[in-house]
Amino acid sequence: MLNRMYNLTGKRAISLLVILFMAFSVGQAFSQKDTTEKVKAPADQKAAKPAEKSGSDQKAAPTTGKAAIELKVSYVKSNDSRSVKVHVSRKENKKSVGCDSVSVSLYFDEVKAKEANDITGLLATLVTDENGDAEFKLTDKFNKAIADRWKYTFIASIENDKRYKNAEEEVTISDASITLTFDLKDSVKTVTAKLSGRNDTTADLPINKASVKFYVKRSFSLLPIGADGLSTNKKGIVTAEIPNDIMADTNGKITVIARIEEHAKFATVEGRKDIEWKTPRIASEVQGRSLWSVGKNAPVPLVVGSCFIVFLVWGVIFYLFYQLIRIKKLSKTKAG
Amino acid sequence: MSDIHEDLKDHKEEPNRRNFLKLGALAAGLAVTGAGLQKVFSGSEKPGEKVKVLTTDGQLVEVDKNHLDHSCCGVPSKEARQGIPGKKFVMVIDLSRCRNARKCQKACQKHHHLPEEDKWLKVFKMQDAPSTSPYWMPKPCLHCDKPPCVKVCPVDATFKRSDGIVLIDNERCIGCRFCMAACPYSSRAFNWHKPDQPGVDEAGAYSPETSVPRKIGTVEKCDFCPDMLRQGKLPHCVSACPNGVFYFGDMNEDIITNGDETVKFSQLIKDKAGYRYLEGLGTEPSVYYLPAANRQFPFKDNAEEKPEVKKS
Amino acid sequence: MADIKEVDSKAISEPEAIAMLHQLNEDLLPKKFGIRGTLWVILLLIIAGLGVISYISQLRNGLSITGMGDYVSWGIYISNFVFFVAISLVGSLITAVLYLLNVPWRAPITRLAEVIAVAAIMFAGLIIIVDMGRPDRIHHLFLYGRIQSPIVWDIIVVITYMTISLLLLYLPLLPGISFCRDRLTNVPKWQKWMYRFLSLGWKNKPEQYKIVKRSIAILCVLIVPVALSIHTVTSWLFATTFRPGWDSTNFGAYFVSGAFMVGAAGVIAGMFILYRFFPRYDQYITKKHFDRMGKLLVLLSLIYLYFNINEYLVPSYKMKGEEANYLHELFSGDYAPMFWSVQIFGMIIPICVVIFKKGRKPLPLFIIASMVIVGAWFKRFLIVIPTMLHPFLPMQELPEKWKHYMPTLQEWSITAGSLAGALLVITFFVRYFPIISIWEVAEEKGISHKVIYEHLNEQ
Repeated sequence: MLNRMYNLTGKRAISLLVILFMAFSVGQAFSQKDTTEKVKAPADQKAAKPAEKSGSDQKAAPTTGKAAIELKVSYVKSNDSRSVKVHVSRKENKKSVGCDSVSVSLYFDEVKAKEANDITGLLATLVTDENGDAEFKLTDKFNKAIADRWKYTFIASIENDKRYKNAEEEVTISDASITLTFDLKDSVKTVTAKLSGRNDTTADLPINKASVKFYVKRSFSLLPIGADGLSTNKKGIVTAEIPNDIMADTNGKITVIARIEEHAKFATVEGRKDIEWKTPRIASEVQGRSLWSVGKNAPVPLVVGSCFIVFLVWGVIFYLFYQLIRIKKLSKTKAG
Repeated sequence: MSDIHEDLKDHKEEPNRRNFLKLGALAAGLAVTGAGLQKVFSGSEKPGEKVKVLTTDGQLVEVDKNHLDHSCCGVPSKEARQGIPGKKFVMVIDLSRCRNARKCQKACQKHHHLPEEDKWLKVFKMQDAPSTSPYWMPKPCLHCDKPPCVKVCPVDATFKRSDGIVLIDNERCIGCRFCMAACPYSSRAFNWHKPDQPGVDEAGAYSPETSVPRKIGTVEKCDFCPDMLRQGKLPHCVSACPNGVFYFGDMNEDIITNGDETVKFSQLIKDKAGYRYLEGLGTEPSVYYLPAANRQFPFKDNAEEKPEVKKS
Repeated sequence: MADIKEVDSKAISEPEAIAMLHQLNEDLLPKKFGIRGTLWVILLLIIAGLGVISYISQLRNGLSITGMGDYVSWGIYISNFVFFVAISLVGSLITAVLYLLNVPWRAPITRLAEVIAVAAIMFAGLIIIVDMGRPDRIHHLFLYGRIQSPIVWDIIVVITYMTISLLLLYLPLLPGISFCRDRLTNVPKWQKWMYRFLSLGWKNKPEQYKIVKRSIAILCVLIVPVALSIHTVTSWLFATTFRPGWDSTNFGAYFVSGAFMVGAAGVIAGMFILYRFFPRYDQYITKKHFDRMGKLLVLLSLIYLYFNINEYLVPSYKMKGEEANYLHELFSGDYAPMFWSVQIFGMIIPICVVIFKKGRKPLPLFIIASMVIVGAWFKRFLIVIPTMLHPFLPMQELPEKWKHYMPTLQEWSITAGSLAGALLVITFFVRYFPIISIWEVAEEKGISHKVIYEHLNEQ
């Protein structure tokens, strides 16, 4: 170890000292010495390496000290609500890792900022969460403003980030929608999805040969229903069966979803609809009186039994206290 | 008796650091979710003041205060005792898929601000008989339906909710540790000293659902992340597992998911011969195991070095 | 039942009886300690003071100053608590059981037994607070008490037993306090005030004696079930869990029999101190008393041996899974030296020695009693700790210090402090109150009630 220290050239030794000092001071300030040092090291290494695969449209000249990132933009339309999602990730040991706390600017149509009340331009600035995700829900006001259009472009851009290189990514979508209808045939419930798009002339254009997946919404995930590989016919229609053994939610309903996923033209579009569901729910465990329930729900025999014993014993004790008072009174009387 | 409180005051960090940790908590504790600031179509939200947050890779960045999502804090104690209406949570752990990656544990440690020595989710190297092959067994709190720990609590500090979760109210707990003696699964841990919890505002509001801020002299354990469940999200261990070992869901729906697959609980338990650990004790755990049969990975003893406890 | 013992009072003439009474008062009223007594008090005060200092450190730093961890989450505080509860059972044994059996030689030792019981149960209550992680929340027990928890049962029975024990100490003491009030004139003001306050103006009236005797009779009946329940409930703190070594239906009887044994040993030790170090006390606590207490100790040890056989032999015949590891650890593992020492020196040898008449002489019996007491303390350790080290799931990836349990210096200091504290209570009692009940001994010696009522309070 010592030998190695002596072998260092002056310059390297100084830079090492500087890094050590920085790490130390940062560590002290953050009191998170371990993480800080660990993280700092790969970041510095990255800077030395040539930039890896990054955002599709990398505009700014590569600045040293910043890591390359990958920016993804996706668009989801669920019934009438639209949202744009961004995902920012970097490569670490050949694995994709989400980048958190990155500010992403989201533009509509064009990057140029415009004055207020013009829908074109900056929509929002998003900050990614710990997984590198951020979502922007388009407001009703915005939806109304673009009601007469059927093709939209969203541009996401990362500029002047302290840690990462600039990146830009855009997505262009043709508007589509899915409407759901339910049927009952021979006690078999089915759901039918109609997928329609738009163009300049027609507002209700059936979409053919689009692969549609059906789901029922559950607490933490979507339960796939229907056969595999369903796709729309010429009328833009596809049908799936809803299994009878699905449990309804607390309101006696289930939410059925039909979805086209990451379509090249329409992106992700889904239709959601609730249906009254007859299958009764299992009643949630009613907490009666038991040894493991709260104090006020203690089993009756336990409460009665213990109270009985306590009152009995303490009754006698209080009787004996009374005897002490009697002794004191006897001391005061003169007779005897 | 008040010495504990005085002690807590005595050890407060200097203002600068505290302030910083508080900001860090917004990032690490509450998580910066992808909230958007609308410039054009919101009208209500103005670009707020800039705040500094500590990123997961330990760097300091400035973001708009409005971007920070505060909605994920736990509910107050009174509400936390009730449970989420209409739910009965269940977990299934597929032992055949576990290869001791410990991502579950890491995620759990991180989100509950736990130090190395204190693990709510343990991964045991198990071997049922000398001739049988060893396997890895992740073990959170089993959230028993007849919890022996809750039976013995003298002050209702630990309780069983209607949704099946067993929680601890650390503002109620007196630290008698009877529950630790009563738990046959060694699921409970104790804050022997002032908890080491960077990034947590110790003066902040406490919720049994987040178990944060942790408190000295009280018992704590795996809580099934009810703060996540309320948001319709899976517990941290479930979503962190790269091998889909953990399934989680609502027993009433009979549907469980490991994030990738969504399956029927009853069907999975039937097909893969699910069981509950130490069923004979009659504690009726909410956690089921699938036997380590037809394993995806051969058993490899990649256990980490035994952790050393930091001297406090 | 109103009179403790009816004797033929005509055997002693009145002047003789009055002279005996004066002698009794002279012998048994509390006196100032000599140099040995003072040194003893100072030593106890130092140990207790160190315990208090350690406890303050625990209040500041939490239970991290102890050797406990997430596996051994109950340590010597709890085993010490069990020890205190065990030794406190002596009050009910000597006072109540011997009273109900109408044993004639019990009068000089009942109060000693009661004082030991009161001191032990007080410190049992204190040590359980010391074990709490949040002593500042002790009021939660009363605000949110949950009747399903054995801890709440334990608190109820400890408080009840403490009250009954105090009454059983105080009621027969009333005449004694009045003697102190009337005869100890050369004492500090506070002491006079204390006697005046505590004596309830006792006038030595026959009606007052009647109430006292009746109350004693009631208390002696009441204390037996309460005493049995206090130690049974304490055993349930362990037996209501699933853990190997605790999951035993034998535990209540096992604990109670062990408690009776150590209680008897405690009284023997106390008796010896009074016999040996207090002038003229050997006139009242005689070799006859040692002989009889020795016989009682053998009987109680044999009962305890029987429950030990049940507790260890039956499980080790089966060697059930998890239990086998625990038993191997006791019989031949890390805890084997302690286990066999406790069983041999704390039970087998005492039985073998005390069963012979020579073994029941004061000094040998005192040595044996001390061995029983020390053995009993470590037996409680063996009941609590090895079980905690044998959970159902393996103990893996633990910090090294949590794999074993070694109490820290502070822990020992607090425990020693609590023991010293209990001894201090007994010592101060001996210093300020008659430790041998004057009127009961007078009765036992056959002095007529008439003489007692009329002359006991004379100057």
